Amino acid sequence: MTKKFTLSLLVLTLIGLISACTADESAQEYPPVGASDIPSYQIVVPADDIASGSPRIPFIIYDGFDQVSTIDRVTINAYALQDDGNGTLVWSGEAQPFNDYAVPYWVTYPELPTAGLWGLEATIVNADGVESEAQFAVQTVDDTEGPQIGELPPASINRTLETVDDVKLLSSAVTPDPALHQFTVAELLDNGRPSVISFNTPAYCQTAVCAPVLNSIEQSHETYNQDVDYLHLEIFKEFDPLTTADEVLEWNLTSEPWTFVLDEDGRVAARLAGPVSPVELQFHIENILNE
Amino acid sequence: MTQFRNWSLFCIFILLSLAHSQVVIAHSELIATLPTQGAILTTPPNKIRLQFNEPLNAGSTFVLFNEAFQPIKLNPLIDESKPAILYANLPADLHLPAGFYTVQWLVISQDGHQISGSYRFQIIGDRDMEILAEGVSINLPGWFAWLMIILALATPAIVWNWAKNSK
Repeated sequence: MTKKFTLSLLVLTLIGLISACTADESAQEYPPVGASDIPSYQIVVPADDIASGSPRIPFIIYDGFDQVSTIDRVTINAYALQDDGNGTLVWSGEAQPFNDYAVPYWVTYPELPTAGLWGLEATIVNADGVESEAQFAVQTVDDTEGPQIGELPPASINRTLETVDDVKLLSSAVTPDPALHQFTVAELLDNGRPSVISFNTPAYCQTAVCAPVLNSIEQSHETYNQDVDYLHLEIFKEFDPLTTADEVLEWNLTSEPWTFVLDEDGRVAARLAGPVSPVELQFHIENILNE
Repeated sequence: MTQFRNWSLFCIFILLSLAHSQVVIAHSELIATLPTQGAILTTPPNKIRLQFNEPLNAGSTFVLFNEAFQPIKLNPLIDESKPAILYANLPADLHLPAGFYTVQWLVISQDGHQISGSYRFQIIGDRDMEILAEGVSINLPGWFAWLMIILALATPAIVWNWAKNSK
């Protein structure tokens, strides 16, 4: 009886050991000895097709997997990653926060004069004054896929409420604003007024990064419609099945959302990939109105 | 931040992103990582694993680089059985010195969307360990803790029985 009891204990122990050693790896973590008191942030860049020069680079800071709105200051150092084995600090500057958006984001305009790979080092100071660092890399190109700053974009003849009766065919928004579907791009390029043209699809990209762009456009329209014309272009011309709109192909856009601010001559004054808050849009509109 | 070498991996990484030409409409989100974001490790991890909220397309990848943006040669793969997971095994003979390491990922979701992001972890040396021990509690890995619990529970009973039998 005693031998059986001892044997049973040994068997149980062995089973326990085997179970412990073969447990699902996904339930485990690597053996960190701890986590630093200094925050460690995740940086997400929701943009592509970044032009060389002084491009707009939006980025979102996450603490773990949560959005962060308690960052006080972000300083960016940009390094040229050269093939000769040396890195050179080429630019330093403060990033600008935009907290008036569903997901707070930051924008930096580093001087990245040539096409290539650039290392960006962010020094992040939170509201408690604690400083931490994060690194990420971006690729710039001389010839962007979509229209560049200073260029005239394609004069697309998009559908409007002149040619389509139902605004629901022009926008996937729950409540489309007819005021954003009055013009063709060709008309906007030719009417001598500044304009805002935004490519987005609120029903088919419902994330906090891209869906609120249309809200920013609508808010901006309420404020500036006397001086600026607005156009919302859907990514899809058919919703079932999803068929990419002709204008998206003509503009050679490879992602969405994209928002372009055009000056009175129809040239691109600002190309804004990803999130655009009302305040950021206001900044670019004021720039062209005050020229 | 003075030396940069062998960044061809970065170029491959970025070229993959440029190869993508379809209009994209959603955002893959990173929902879990190993090592965890901000982890402090005493030894290099034997695997890096990133889990996203949706299956990934071919072309999704990541790069591990050190504080000087020098890439560490890895071969990231999409897990065939769990296509929302991107992972790379680190060779046993790979020596990663103490320092901060950044995992920069670029993923293409099934609808063609591309997005990039980065996070970092730290590997510490013995000297760092002494400093850390003063301010940070020790978290043992799951399997090791379970092993200790089982041994702690079973050993007294085994010894007691062995002693009883030997009388």
